[in-house]
Amino acid sequence: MKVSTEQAERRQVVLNVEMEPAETEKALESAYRRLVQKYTIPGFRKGKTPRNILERYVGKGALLEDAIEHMVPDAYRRAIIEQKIDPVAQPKLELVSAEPVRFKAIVPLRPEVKITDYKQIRVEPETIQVTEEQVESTLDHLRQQHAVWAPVDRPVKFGDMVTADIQSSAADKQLLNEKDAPFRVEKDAKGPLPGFAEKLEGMVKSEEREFDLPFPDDYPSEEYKGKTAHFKVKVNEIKEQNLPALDDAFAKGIGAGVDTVEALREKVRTELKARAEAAEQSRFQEKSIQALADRTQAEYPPVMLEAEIDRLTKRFEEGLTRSGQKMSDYLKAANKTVGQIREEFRPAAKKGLVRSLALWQLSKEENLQVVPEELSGQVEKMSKDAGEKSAQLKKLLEMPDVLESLENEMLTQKTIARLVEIAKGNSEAETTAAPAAHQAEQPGEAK
Amino acid sequence: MNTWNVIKRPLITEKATALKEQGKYVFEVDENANRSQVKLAVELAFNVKVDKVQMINRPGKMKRFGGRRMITPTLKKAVVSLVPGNKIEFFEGI
Repeated sequence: MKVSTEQAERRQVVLNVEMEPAETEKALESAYRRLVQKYTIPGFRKGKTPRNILERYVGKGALLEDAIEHMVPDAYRRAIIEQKIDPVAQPKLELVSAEPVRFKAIVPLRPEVKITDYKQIRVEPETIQVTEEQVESTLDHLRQQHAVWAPVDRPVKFGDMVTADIQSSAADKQLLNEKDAPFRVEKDAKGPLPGFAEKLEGMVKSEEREFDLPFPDDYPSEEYKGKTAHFKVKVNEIKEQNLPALDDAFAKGIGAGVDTVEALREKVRTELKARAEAAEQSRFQEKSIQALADRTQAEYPPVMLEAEIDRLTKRFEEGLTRSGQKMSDYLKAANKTVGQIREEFRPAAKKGLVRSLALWQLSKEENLQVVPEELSGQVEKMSKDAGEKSAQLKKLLEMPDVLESLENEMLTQKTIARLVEIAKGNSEAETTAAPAAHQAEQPGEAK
Repeated sequence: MNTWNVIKRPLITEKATALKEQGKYVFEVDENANRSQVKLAVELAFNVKVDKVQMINRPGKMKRFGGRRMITPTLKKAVVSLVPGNKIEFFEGI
C-alpha cells in the first residue's frame, strides 16, 4: 500500500492510496470465498465452484468490485493510522483506477477554531425595572380573565360578546355557516374580515343584517384577492363584560394563594421581576455568545456544515409533523424542493456551527470539564424529578449515547456560564455549573 | 455420423473438474458413438494422444409434468484419458 497526502482547502486532506498487487490478490481471494457461497453454477454444488470457473461465470469485474468494496475501507483505516490523521467524520471515497487499485479519500479534519481575546468580551447589563404600570396592567389582565359575562338588552357596543348566526359567501362559495357562534366585538378586529366588528356595532337582539366586506390585500388566499364577501348575520344574544372589583375577595378567589390585594400586587410584582430577570439573563447570554462568535475564526470541513443543515432540516420536518403536516405536502404548498429548503437553512446553520465551535474551543481554552460525579449527579437529579417514571428515565439516561449528549449539554452550559462571568467582567471568578441557565432559555414560556 | 459430430460439448461439472487432475476429460457425445470414434475425434480436434476412453450411458427418464409425460433426453458421456504429458488447452482457461 502506497499512501501520499495532499492538503486540500477548508480543513480537508486528500489521501491517494495505491494498493500493491499482492494485497489486491488477497482481497480477490477473499472476494471469491464470499461470492462462491452466493452463486449456484450448473454442474457444481453451491460453494464448490473453483475460482476460475466462477470468475468466468460472474465476470472478473464483479469479483474485483466486491474485493474493492471490502478492501478500500480497510486500507483507508490503515492509511489514516499510518499518516496520523484524525478524521472528524466519514471520508468521501473515490475510486481512481481498478488495475492497479488506486483510490482517493477526502478526509474531513477537526475544525480549527481561533478566538481572539475572548477575555475582553464585555456585555453591558441592562437594569431590571418593574414599573407600577406593568403591575397594574397585569392585574387588569387578571381581572379580565376572571370577568363574568352577563346578558344585556341593548345595542351592541365594542367590548361585548355576541352569539350570532353567521353566514358568509364570496365568489359563489360559502365561507362560513355557523350557528350560535361566539364573537367578541372589538374595535379593529381582524377576523373574519377587517370591518366585521364595526358592522355589528349597534345591532340589537334578534336583529338580522346583511352587508358586504372587501377582502384585504394581505389576505392569505390568492383566490379572494380583490373580491368582496357577502355576510348575513343574526344576533342571538348580547353579553357585557363585568370586571370583578379589585378587592381582597378577588385576590382570594383567583387561587394565587394570597388573601389581600396588597399581597396579590406584591406577588405580581415579584413574578414580573423574575420574568424580567430571566429575560435579561438570556439576553445577556445571547449577547455574550454572539460576541464570542464575532471574535471567532473557524475553519471547518464542509461536511460539518452539511451535517448542521441536515440537523436543522430534520428539526423543521419534525416541527411540521408535530403540527400534523407532512414534509412532502409542505413542499408542494410552498412550491419548493428539499434542496431549496436546505439552502435556506444554510446561513443559520453556518451561524449555529460557528457558535458551537466557538463554545467548544472556549471550553478547551478555559479547561472546563464535566467530571463523572457531576454527570451522575445530574442523572440522579433528572430521574428523581421524573417521579414515578424515574427508574425508566434513569435507564434511558444511562445509555452511552444519551449520557454522552447529556455530558455535552452540561459542558455547553458550563461554558456559557463561564462566558457570562467573563462578559460581566469577573473573568477570574470560579464558576459553578449553572443548571439555572437551562431554565432561562425560554423565558417567554414562563407564566 | 461424421467425426466432427461425435463430440457434442465438454462437460464442466464438479466431478469433471476433479477428474482433470488425473488427465481425464469428460465430454457429452453422440448417442451412437463408440470408443474408437470418440478417440479419433478427440485426437483430431485437440491434437493430443488418447490413452483410453470410458463411456457412460445415461438413458432418458420419464418425467411427469402434471398430466403430461415426457422423456428427458438420453445422454452419452465419454471419459477420455490422455497419454501422460498431453493436455487439452481448451479446458485450461476455464
